[in-house]
Amino acid sequence: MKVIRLFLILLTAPILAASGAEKIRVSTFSSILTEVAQQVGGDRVEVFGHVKPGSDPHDFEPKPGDLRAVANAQLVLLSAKHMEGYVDKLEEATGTKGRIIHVGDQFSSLKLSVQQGGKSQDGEDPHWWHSIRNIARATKIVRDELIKLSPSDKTVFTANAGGYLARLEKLDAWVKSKVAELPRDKRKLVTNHDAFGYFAREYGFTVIPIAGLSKNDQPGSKKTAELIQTIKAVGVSAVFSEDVANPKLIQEIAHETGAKFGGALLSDGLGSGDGGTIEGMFKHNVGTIVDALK
Amino acid sequence: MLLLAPLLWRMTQVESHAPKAAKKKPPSAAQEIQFVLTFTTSPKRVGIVYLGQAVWSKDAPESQEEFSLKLPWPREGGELKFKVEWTDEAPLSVMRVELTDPADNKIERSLWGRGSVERVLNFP
Repeated sequence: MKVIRLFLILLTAPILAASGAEKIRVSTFSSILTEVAQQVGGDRVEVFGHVKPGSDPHDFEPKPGDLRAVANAQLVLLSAKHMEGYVDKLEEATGTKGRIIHVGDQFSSLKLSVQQGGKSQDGEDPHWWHSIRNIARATKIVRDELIKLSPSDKTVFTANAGGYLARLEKLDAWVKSKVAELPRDKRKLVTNHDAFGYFAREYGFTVIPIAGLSKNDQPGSKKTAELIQTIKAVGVSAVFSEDVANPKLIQEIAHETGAKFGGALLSDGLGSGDGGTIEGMFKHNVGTIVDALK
Repeated sequence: MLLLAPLLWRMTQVESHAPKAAKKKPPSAAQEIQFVLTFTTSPKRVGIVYLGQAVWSKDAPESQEEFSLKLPWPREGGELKFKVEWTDEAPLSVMRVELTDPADNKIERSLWGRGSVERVLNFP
């Protein structure tokens, strides 16, 4: 009996060791990068998403639990383009040995004017994930970083990334087809804050933001009056709120201009329910925009 | 008349607080757009969708098709969705689209594919 038990242990030991192989610990500071890391890494990664879907990354501040996770992470993925203002503190406080990758800084930025301390200065638009091409770029970056950490899993990461890139391409074709239902002269996007610049560039929209890059940059009464005049002059038929913003101001603007309130868009990352995936976010946003502006 | 004054005043106040509707842009007028489609391999079927509506299709088109359509075409241009169905045996094929817009600008685009292909092309 003892011999049989010993034989069974010897037989199953390598299988148990393989299945229990330590996963690569990844920390992400963007719900978009959480999905990308999970899709590319599959079973070989354990992803800790610090910024949850439906929360505002502009306002996010790491808590002690976040610092512990970053300290143990082998790979830290940042949205970058100045989105994570706490990044220096994060490195100092955790002393992490993990590779910190500023994903968004590895592809080109839309430049825009940012208000800071009452002065206007040049800045970068951090909302790169509203371009499917940028998400594809991020996927390739994550794939290459995971391969560096675990070269023996190269085949798995390459295959996972390939499948995911094919899905992104299909999604882009769907977006183009849906947007094509809307005449180009109706592609005017009035939103709470300036988050849709990359989307507008790829699909031929003009953005008229109510606030600046962050939802905390609320316009004064003079600016609001100017916006109302602009919206009336260009004949915008619908205006949009955002899931993580107070819709009050945009609803007032809808009331003042006679434009209809088109609904809430997912601006700062993934949302909840059907908008909880990148595909769901695009389908929600594009469907809401096109159907309201038609 | 004096008795009616408060009522008249209230009516004018309501009027002044009512929101003025945003100036709705009239839809662009339908204008003639000319097309020349050229195929390296004639497909089983080809169709065009504009603003979500099927606007033209033809079964077994010739290697070159010339036609014009009246479409609401804004100054900014537009996107057309082409659906092309080549036979399964057909090699990698291409459809060349030459579009002449109302301002007489000629814009050329290509669509490559095998089997059944659906793609949105931008003009310009």
